[in-house]
Amino acid sequence: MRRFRFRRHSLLPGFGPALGYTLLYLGLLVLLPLGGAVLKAAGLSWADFWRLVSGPRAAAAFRLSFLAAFGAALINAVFGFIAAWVLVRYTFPGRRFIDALVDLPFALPTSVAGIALTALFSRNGWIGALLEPLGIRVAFTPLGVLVALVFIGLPFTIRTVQPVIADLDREAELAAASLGASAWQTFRRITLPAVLPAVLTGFALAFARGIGEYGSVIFISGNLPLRTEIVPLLIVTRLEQYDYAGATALAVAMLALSFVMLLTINSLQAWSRRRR
Amino acid sequence: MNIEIRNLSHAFGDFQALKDVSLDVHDGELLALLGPSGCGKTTLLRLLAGLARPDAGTIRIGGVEATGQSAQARQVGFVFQHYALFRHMSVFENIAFGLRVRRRNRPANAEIRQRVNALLELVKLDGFGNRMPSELSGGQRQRVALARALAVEPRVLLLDEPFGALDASVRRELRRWLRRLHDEINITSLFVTHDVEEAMEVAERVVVMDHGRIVQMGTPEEVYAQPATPFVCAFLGSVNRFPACPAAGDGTPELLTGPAACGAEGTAPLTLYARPHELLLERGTGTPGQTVPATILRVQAIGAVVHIELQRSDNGQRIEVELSRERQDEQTYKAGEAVHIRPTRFARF
Repeated sequence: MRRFRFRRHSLLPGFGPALGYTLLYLGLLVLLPLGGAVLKAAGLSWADFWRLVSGPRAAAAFRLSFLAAFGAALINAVFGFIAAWVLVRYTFPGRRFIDALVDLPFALPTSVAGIALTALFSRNGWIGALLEPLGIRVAFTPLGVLVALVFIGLPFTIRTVQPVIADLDREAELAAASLGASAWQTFRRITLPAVLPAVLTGFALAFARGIGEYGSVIFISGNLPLRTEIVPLLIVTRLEQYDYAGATALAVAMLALSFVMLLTINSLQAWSRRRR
Repeated sequence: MNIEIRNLSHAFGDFQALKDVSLDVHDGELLALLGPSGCGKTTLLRLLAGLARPDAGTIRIGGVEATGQSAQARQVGFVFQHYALFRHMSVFENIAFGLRVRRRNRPANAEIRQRVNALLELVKLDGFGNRMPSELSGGQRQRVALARALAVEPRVLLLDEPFGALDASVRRELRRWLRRLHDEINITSLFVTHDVEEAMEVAERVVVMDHGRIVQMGTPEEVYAQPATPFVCAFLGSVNRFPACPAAGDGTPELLTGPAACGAEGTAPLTLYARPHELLLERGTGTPGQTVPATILRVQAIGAVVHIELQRSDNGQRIEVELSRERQDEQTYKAGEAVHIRPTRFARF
């Protein structure tokens, strides 16, 4: 049988205390609250649990939460990559200013973002008024949820991809060109494989953030049950009705789903890194 | 393919990297661009590869106008100092890259395999096809980079300080190998280096550059024996400078000692450049005008050549002398001894 071994890779001392601290930190801050939720849900029978998380209202909320988070993460992966590319590869007036702007969604209270987006996209808002004649409504529709999550998740891809692009071997691109590769072939075969793991990391972060987002969405979505209600809001609603069992069941289901999806993304990332 | 470079200029902002450079590279030649860093040699190479655009001037490769051509269209192989291998691809895929990205006459997979294997054999890396670049030594990586450049059958091969990132022994071995490889495949090649020994050993013809201009070209022997300018003379190896006065007619110039000036009519003094092995040491009284007095500071007797460091007694200038081991065994010069230095050969400017 294989024995577990503690491996020390570092010359720096302090492996014991550092590991102890890491475990305590993760235990207190991550595992304990989550474990509490699972424990609470464990009081439910399987049938009850299933009934609570698969009712039409809950199912619709799950669908919206995960689809919108996935879509927003996808949009952010593509456009975040482009933005990071521009910020690293080109110099232009105002670059530092724009670079600082990227972090704003991190810092802004999400409810402020939600209110601002609602004001912009509502039927008489600046952008909403332009879209209205085209028959596109953003505020108080699932599309609004997507817009809010794109806003919230944008910094994640930019900030994870940026250092990797800065680190790319520019000469490898020149080498590809001198070997006859077109710009697209160079991007597709040389640049993209090198940046892909970072893009996936950014995608996973934006996705996770999108699933958990609450503050900005509740303003722009309108919270119509079965239509624009997200899971975090449904949980809060249940709590306000003193339905603790219902709230924890939803929380645990969400936790499990998120965990599985993040695990999948992580292994995808490990796979793409192995191919380097 | 021959290359004709005419009046090429290139600037980076205010810095004029290349000034009106013209050069002919003959078909099948192995040519070294030699010069200190910042002399414009790498810029010239990048312009030839199409990795940068000249501000003025023209480039013709094989008689065909290439100045406005893109790097992709030029069919020029380029080898970078830091290899620039594709890190996420195996050695095999690195070499196959140029063949795989072809849109017209892309070879079939079987043919690609055959050609890559032949190239791996050529660069002495058979059996390394499945390795990743990170698993290779520096010398091996540079050979992969060379094979990758050769895979597309370039018309011209350009190498930018190809051995600059390698340690001394690998470097020596690899440049002999490059020399032999060139004899084998005979592709017109230009390589850039700041290492005089490397240029002299590998190249058939050396082009010395300084401050964006070509200062001299010729075979290694010609350039070494008849440097065109004081810069070339000093750049090619250590050299001692002696102030002297021009002699009447074609006679040997008179060495100046101390604060003395040239003749009554105030002729301008000149400088004689003599390499350490072109100097002799003499005991006794010396000959004014032909020798200068000096004191031996250090004698370093290692190997076949004995290095002696001296200081001139009249102006304090340091002088380096190289003697054969036999002569030192005969004369046994010692530190602290007062001697006279006699230049036997020199260049004058």
